Amino acid sequence: MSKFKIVCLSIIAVALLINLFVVNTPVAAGEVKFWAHYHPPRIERNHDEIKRFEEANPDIKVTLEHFPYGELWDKLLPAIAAGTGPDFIHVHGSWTTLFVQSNAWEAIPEDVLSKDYIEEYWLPSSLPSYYRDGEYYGLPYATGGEGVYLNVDLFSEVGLDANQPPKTWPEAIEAGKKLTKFDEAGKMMQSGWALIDSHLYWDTTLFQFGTDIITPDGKKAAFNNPQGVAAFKWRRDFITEHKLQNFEFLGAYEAFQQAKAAMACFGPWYGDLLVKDYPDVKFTTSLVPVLKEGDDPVVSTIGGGWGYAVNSRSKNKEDTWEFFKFMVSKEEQIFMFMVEGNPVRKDVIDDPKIPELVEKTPYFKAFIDSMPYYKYVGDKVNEMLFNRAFEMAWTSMVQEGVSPEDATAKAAADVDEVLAEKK
Amino acid sequence: MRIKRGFFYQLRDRKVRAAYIFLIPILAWFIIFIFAPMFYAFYLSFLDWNILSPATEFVGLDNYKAVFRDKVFWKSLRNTAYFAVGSVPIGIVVSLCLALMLNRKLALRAAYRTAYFIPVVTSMVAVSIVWKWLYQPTFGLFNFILERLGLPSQGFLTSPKQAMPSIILMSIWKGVGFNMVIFLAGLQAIPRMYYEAARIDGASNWKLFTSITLPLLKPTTLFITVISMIGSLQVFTQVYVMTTGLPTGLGGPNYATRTVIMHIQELAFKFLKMSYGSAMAWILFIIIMFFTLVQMRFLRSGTEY
Repeated sequence: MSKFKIVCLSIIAVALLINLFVVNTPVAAGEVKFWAHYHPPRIERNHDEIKRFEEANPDIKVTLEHFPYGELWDKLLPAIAAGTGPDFIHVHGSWTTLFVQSNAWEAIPEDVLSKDYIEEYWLPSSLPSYYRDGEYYGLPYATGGEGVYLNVDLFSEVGLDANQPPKTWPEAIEAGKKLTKFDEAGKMMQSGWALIDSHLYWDTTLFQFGTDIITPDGKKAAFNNPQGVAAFKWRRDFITEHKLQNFEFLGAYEAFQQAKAAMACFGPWYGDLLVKDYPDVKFTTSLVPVLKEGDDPVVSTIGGGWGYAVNSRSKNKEDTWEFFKFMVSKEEQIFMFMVEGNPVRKDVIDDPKIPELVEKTPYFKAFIDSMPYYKYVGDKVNEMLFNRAFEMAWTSMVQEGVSPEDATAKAAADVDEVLAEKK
Repeated sequence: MRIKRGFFYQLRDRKVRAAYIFLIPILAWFIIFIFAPMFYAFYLSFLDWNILSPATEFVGLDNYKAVFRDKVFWKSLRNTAYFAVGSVPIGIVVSLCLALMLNRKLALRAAYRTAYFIPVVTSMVAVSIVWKWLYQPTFGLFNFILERLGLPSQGFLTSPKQAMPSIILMSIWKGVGFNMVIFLAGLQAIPRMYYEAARIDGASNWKLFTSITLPLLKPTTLFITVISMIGSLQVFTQVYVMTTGLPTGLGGPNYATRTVIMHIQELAFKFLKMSYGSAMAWILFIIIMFFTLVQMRFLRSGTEY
């Protein structure tokens, strides 16, 4: 055989060997790959949970990999498509439609957790986001919740008491105006209420103005009506008329962390972050204000909250379901109390340990108090695109002078397009 | 008389065989990582595939028709064209001017060359993050300087009108050193005897530039124009990094800086429309190929001295 042919055949042989041994490494039996996005308080607790689970199940090894928020989705798609994805996934309820339509998540088998059990123990408002075509495709361990964070020092600088928070939006706006500061050139230096990029999603505003967001059949936007237009106008006026924040200023997270925002809306997970990473920011929390005195509060569950799901292509489903049962159990949900959102199991909420935990961490109270007022938005199909419709409407009203009527209609049309993706 | 030899006949020559063996790795790389994915994407563009599900459905030209109906695609294409028209000519002019200045006997010439080249070797992501903070309307350095000069502060990345020019400025700053170095090489390849002969004939500096420098720089200018245009039509990193996390949202206020590649990336990986994204990617490829061929046709050198 000539030297040339020997060299060519050698290259092909090496390539085949690499493909066989490196690319197709089989999953070890008893190993569960767990992917989650990086939120330091939760990851710390996840490691504790894994340790406890492995002690109780010595034949199962759980490997946790975490990714920056926003990158989990980007990593998950090609990994699942290539068959190298995780077995157990930390997911958000708003992802369910897209993943279930693609048969990427496994329905919870009856012998793992029966539907009767799930419906007996989970809060009804937390379940729809994980329920499709008669099956549960995962379960939440925390639901999205909104509460107002108030900077105690900034309040006292202007003679206000953050422990007597505004209860209605007119009161909040008046307080916000006193707390907003501008320099001599008219540039905002402190926001009285950082609404942009906060967790006061459009869902809650629209609910407060008395309109639904999605029609009961889940196919169309339901807010293109006078109440919806009023809500859009209210959001516009927050910036253009009351001038409590603007698009040139910092976003709500940065502003509050740097003590340049007196009030902003976030979930309970933000409190832990402030305590650990921004200890100089003294804060308290309260319920989201209502439109007028006498109104009941209303809080969006923001697409159903964070939970867990099992990859339908997992090669180790039995062990993965064991881990799933452990992670959604009452004990683990108490352990994860308020790390990400409000609790979702009724037996957790009624447990005597909860009042003790709330007493140790006073800022939890506002979130616990908001739980009776949860309202599920509906299946947004693709939450990012859905929410973007409102963000675009907002910037068009504020920066381009589009009328609230036109902005509402455009947002509704964009939302209709998103909902049409549901098969 | 030249005798044409076939491929396999040529392989009998040891030197030819050695040449092909050395080419195999890079050819394999091109085939595996460039051509194969390209043609696979072309195949995908005729299907309906969402990356997660193995199931696919043949949809013919539906994806291509949907691209032409997509208003966000047209807005992204306009933004991409705006970026290309804004950054390429200005970038070429600035880098040529720098090269002309550095083509003289200057003290610290090497230091200037290094200083202009440093942004080129710096990570685009790192540079984008720094410039994002420079442009921050409330606390950024640029508005601080403007205010000290008594001028009104600007919205920059948060303003629909200023967002794209802000990104163009940063991109020119980052890329000008690379083109400058190539122009320098081109300038140094022009024989000095042409300039000497022209000076003897009384030619002014401007005449030297327009009649000798520019024509003989045509091959270099063609190369830089083509490469810059291709790069600018594929702009993504700086737009993505500089508009992520802004209160006005990813892609700038009302999509003012959303480019075609950003739109493709979002369609394919956020909205799981892999086939639709593939169709859009092929349309962009055809647009880039068209402009490249037009440039090569019109900027082809006809100058021989």
